[in-house]
Amino acid sequence: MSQTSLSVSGITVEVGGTIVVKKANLDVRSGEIAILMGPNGSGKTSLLRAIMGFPSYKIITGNIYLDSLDVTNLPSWERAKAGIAIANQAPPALSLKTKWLFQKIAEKYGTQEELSKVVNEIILQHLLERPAFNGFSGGEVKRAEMATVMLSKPKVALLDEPDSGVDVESTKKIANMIDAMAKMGVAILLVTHAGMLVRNLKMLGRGYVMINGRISQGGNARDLLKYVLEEGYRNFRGSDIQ
Amino acid sequence: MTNESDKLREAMTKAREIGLEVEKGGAVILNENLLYKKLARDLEKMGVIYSEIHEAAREYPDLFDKYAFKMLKGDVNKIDSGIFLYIPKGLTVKEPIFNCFVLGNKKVVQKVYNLVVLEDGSRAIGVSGCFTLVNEAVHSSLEETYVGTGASYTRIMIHNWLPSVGVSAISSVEVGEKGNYQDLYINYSEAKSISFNTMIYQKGSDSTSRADQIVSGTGFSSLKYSTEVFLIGDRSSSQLISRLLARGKSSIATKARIVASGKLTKGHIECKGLTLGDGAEISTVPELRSLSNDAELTHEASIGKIKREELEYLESKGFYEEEAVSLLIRGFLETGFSDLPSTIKASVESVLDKLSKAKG
Repeated sequence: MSQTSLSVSGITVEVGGTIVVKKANLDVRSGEIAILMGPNGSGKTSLLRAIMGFPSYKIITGNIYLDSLDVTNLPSWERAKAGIAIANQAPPALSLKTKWLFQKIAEKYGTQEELSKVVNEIILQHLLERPAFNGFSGGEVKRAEMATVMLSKPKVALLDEPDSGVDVESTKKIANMIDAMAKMGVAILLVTHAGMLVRNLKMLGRGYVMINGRISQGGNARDLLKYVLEEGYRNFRGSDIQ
Repeated sequence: MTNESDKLREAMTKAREIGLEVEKGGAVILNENLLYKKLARDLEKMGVIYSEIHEAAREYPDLFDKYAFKMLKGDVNKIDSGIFLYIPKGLTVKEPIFNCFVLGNKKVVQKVYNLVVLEDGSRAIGVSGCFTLVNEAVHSSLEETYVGTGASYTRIMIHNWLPSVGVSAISSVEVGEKGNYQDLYINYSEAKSISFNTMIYQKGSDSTSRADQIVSGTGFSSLKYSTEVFLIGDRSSSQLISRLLARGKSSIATKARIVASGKLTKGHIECKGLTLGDGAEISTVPELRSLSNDAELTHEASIGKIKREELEYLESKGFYEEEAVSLLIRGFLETGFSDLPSTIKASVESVLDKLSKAKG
């Protein structure tokens, strides 16, 4: 069995005085695609941003490990350099040109040679001269964020709804990219609402459900998705949720 | 370092650092005197005149009388030095011509007058670098530029002064029918004070202009800029773009004004300011005045700080705070000035890179 890359151990997260994640536990192994589902506002994005180390997501209790390294108290840029990358659901519009953002990330992670391949694969050429995320369509935002993750060559990728607002063809492309990263040994924690992306993934591992800041025990992702798509989240009660 | 040749050598080195390759074609005016000048011989043969301003008044009296001090008031006898650049009809000069104005002695007051004439259908690129080797000096300049029918002139100017230097500059430009004037100005110095006024008179129909100002204020600098464009010719158009970056306790004040009197004219002012210090100050006044019922004039202006969410986003991509700030500033400084010749594009980008990393 592959070794655990990301281990979230009993973390409680506070944002602006409100507890948004409660004692969450979760493991993702190298090469595994773990999915995290849950209704809107259940805390999925907060969990991902806390793992990434965004300053306003304060970890009150618990620890986050990358391999055996405790990253709980590291700033986000150190976590990124240690191997955690995030594809944000709604990145801010930047004054920086898209090509500069990609180039600077590629320089930082030594992936300059892969830059044009990534840009071509994700069909981003037309965005390169534009300021990043300014006036991008939903799909363009997701693809550009995926590109930043791929150029970071991470050990752990946190993907926050990379399929929302994306057309069928692009969804398949994104699924292929996620599979390709998993094949290379990246541990992937994927937040998604929709079945289409998951159906196109080949390297699925465990699935988790999050409700009101609490997270379920890990189960088989494909079974869990099937259940959620048929029944919704109403039956996740009691022992299902920690 | 006391003698002029040492200072000239130092000035040339400093010029190269900001991308001014004077040896390829250009001049250095150190204090009151022109100490170095070079122009490709084939250009001279084709009728390009590139001379010291007093020499020009003596050698080319007809041209001098026709163009000198017609837009600005002045007297060549009260000027220390300056450059006369004349591009004859229909000639394209591809390589940029580099002019350096250098203050090399304390207490010196350098009074400069430059005259640039592009005859009909000609094209040229002028790059000026103004900087100091010493503190406590003053640079005062007047410049007149004539862009003839169908001619095109691109002027790039980089100011890099020391903290106790005062600068006063006035530039006046006339653009003829279908003429095109492009201007990129960058200040990345800590000059005590800069006052820079530019007037562009687009007398010719279908003439175009664009003036970009990238101004960085640091320390206790007080920087004042005024740019006025007069759209006189029918269908003439202009864009005034500025990026103002105030650090430390600096103060930047800009006025941008477009007056449209020709028919079907178009003008746009875009001004963005970024303050990076608690004591830094930016003020910007855009003014549009239409004297024609079919003019199309617009402006947009904003002043702000670096947004926390942008910083946090870049930090999450692995950039520590200082790197993230530099990246965001570098993006902010981009105006989209596209008429940069490839020979100096890298130099301008390098200056902007330095500017984005500077502290203040």
